[in-house]
Amino acid sequence: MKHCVTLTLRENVGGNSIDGSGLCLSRIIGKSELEISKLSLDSETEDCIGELFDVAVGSSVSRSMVLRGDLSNFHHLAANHHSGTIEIDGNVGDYLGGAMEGCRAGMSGGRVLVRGNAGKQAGYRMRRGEIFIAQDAGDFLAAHMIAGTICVAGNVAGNVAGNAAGKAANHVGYGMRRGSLLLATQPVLAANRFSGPIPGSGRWIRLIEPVGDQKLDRMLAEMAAGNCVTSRGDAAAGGVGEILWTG
Amino acid sequence: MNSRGNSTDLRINGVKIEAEFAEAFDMKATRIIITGHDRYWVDQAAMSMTGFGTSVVGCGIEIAVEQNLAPEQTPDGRPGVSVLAFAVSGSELEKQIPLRLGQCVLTCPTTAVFAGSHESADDSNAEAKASAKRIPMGKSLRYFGDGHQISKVVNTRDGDARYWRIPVMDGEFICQHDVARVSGVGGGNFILLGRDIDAVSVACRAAVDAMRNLPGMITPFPGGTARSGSKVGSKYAGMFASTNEAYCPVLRELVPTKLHAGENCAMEIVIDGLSAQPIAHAMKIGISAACQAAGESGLLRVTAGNYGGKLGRHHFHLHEVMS
Repeated sequence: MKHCVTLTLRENVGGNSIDGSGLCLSRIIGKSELEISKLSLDSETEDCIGELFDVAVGSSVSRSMVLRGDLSNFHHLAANHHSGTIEIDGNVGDYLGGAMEGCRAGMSGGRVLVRGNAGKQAGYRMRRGEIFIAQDAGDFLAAHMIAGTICVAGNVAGNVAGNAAGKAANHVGYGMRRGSLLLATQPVLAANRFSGPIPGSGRWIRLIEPVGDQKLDRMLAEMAAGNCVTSRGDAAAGGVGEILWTG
Repeated sequence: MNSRGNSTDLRINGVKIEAEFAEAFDMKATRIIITGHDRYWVDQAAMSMTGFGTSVVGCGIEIAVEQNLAPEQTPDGRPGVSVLAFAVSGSELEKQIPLRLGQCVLTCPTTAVFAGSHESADDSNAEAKASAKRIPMGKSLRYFGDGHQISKVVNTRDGDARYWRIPVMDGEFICQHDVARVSGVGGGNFILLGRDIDAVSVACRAAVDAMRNLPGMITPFPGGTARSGSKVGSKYAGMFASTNEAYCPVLRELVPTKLHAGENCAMEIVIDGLSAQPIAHAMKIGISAACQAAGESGLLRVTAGNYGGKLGRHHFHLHEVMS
């Protein structure tokens, strides 16, 4: 059995934006509850993890961290993630798995599961790994993505928590270089950036291990069975990434 | 039914099991899983991949289908087979596997290729895993994609697994990046001797049928059987192996023979395994089946081939195997 750390948000942090990049699995794993509580949340503040979260250390079949609560104000979560699993039992803020300012790449491996909504720029400059979002994702999903896999079982073109009400999420796959974006709904794609829809080619999706979320797993199974179409791009950036949606 | 008069007299269904031993050698091995849209294409790919793979002497590797796999046993949920390959050196495996995959499986419609062998349990730490020897598969074949290939790294419980998706005319050829090289044992064997071809042929088929689909072993020769049992060396320079005249019935009056009176035909079943245990188990199953099938119709004796015990460190004594 391997280490599993559970961080439960104690209270609503209000409207303050918080840099969540410090909630890094490799920084936390293997430490005691007390040691984790004393770790600083990020380099700019003196807040410790223990001031905002209840910490529990247990065991699991995989190296993992579970975050519970509404983390809509926590941005850049999993920015440095490279192995193991991070599960977020709630919403997350912007730049999930995305590169920090001044960095060329975001997460470089492992798996992130969000059971709620994700904010803007999820997977920005993501290098490798898997992001699963069970609900909706915000604007600029997979923007400048380098490689990896992002799967969204909710909406990417409707109202999303964290967005201004009524504003449609857009710019899906903007500047995408490579990687795979799997969507439950057909995205709005610029014709000069992405190819026309190509039927099939979802067989490789069977290789993805089940996520443990009914909605996501059902969607993946449907796509793996061939019920999907693909669009390649972003051609404007010389990219050959792929956006697949059930159809 | 087994009967044992004394330590050197073991009979099964009237067939004498000689107090001999098979001598086997350490080899390098790997397991590859081939899947396809249906059983027809899986079998075509496997047949092609394992062709000309009977003996390391002339083929470079010994390779055959280990087991048929049901869809729920394969990584992509389609019917498949597991193939075992053995060679005397790691470099020969690294040469043969990509070559055969490229010519025999990449070309075969609907197929996909996955790693079937993994690092041993002792290699559970990351450092050992990183230094474990790997045999390239998609790592070599990806270039066929001419830049259109897609690398896909999938997170698994055991770590990341990299696959290559190569565009081909029926869709995508999916091929895992590489496969672990593991240790193996090659050259387990038993020799069936009988009154005539009919008796020994029936015995061989029964033995190979009984051993088919046993895990961790293969019988790489045609129909699992070799009629050209060999000895090391030859009178001709450059020949590594030549006919084992001691078991050739047409030479019994010309050279020292190991054939007993009434034995006019001998055939050998050669077994390679991922360890000694599956070979020993297969020998027991195979010998029992052969004796039951042809003990009353002309199969007279079972023996085994060895080199005096000085060349290979794995010795399979027939009486121990059958106990």
